[in-house]
Amino acid sequence: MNCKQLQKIENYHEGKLQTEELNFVKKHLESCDECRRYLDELKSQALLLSRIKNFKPTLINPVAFRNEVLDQIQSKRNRYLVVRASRFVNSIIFILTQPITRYSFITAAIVIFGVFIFQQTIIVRKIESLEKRMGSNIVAKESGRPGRKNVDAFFKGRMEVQSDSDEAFRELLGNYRSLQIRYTVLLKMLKEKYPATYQEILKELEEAELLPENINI
Amino acid sequence: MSFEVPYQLIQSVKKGDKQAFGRLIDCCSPYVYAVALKLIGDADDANDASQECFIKVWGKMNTYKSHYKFSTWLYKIIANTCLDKLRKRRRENQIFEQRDPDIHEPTQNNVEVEFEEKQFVDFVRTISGGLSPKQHAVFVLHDLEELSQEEISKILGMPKGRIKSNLYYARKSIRQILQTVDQEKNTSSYEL
Ligand SMILES: [Zn+2]
Repeated sequence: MNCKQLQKIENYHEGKLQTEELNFVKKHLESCDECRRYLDELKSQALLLSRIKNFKPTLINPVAFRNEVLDQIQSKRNRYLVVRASRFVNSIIFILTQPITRYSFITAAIVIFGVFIFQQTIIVRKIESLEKRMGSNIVAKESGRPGRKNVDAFFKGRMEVQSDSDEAFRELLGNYRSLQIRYTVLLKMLKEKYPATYQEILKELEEAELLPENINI
Repeated sequence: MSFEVPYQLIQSVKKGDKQAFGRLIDCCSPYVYAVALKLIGDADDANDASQECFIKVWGKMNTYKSHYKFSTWLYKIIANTCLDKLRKRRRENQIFEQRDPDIHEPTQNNVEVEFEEKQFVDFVRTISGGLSPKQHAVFVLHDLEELSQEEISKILGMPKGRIKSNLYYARKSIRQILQTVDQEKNTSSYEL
């Protein structure tokens, strides 16, 4: 790399030379091996770069590529779910094994049970007050404190007293397990059979705040 | 190389539609893989990087804002993935020359394609040895992918001035590298 014209060869290769210089370089190239080699180098580099630029790498199997990505996403998601589930279970176990949670669990269970008993008692009270107002048409329930058994006895007793037309009702009531629904049905029945007393009872129940919310009167 | 992805397809993918994501992969994977190969110079690594890129896309899809060109956003992810790989390789001192040179031996049924890819990969390997990862990335995105400086600035998070200087040094280094390669080997592997 000693020839002083090398820079000019670069310009020549890039097409930057004008007539006079151009002729000079052309002449020089005929006599200088070094510059000819350099020009050849530049040419082959330019050719290489243009081939590199035009080369479009291709995915050999795009379908397999896509499916692999989707599989990886799925397995990542599955791993994530497993980790989350095991974390959740671990934290539940952790909470359950703490002494304080054990006590609060017992307390919560007692509270829930208490609320349940309280609600049942209210319903039984509602039915009792109905029963009182219906007087002679209903056979009094067995003695003892109100409870599910007593309410059942009341229904049975009532049905026995009623005429044949109540058969349908008995069947209907038999389908209902919830005391709340039985109470609602009973109110409806009362409305049909004893409209006068029904209005009175309704008022009374309303005052005592014992009217069920879901009744359509 | 710029490409378009239908707006509706992007919206479906955003909503978590996996089938739509499959279609999105089909439509972008050739471009993503091509850039990855140009940046990494190894078919297997480029394939891995491309898969990684799409997994990131799936995870980050809800952060994509539609006023941003999707191809630019995708280039950003693939470029960062590849640059990470390149930096990691530099740290681990895995220089290409130390690798088995016969790894891309052409097979009989598609000699022509294999030969071109081998030549291409050799080129990328050679120049990436002499350039910094950023210079390499700027060269690939500007001179090979023909993206605008504005886009490259978004993709690499680099001001335009630094893109120009990186490009200048990259081109200069590449010229020098190719010269030394030519001088070292009488029968150059790049002889065309
Ligand atoms: Zn000369």
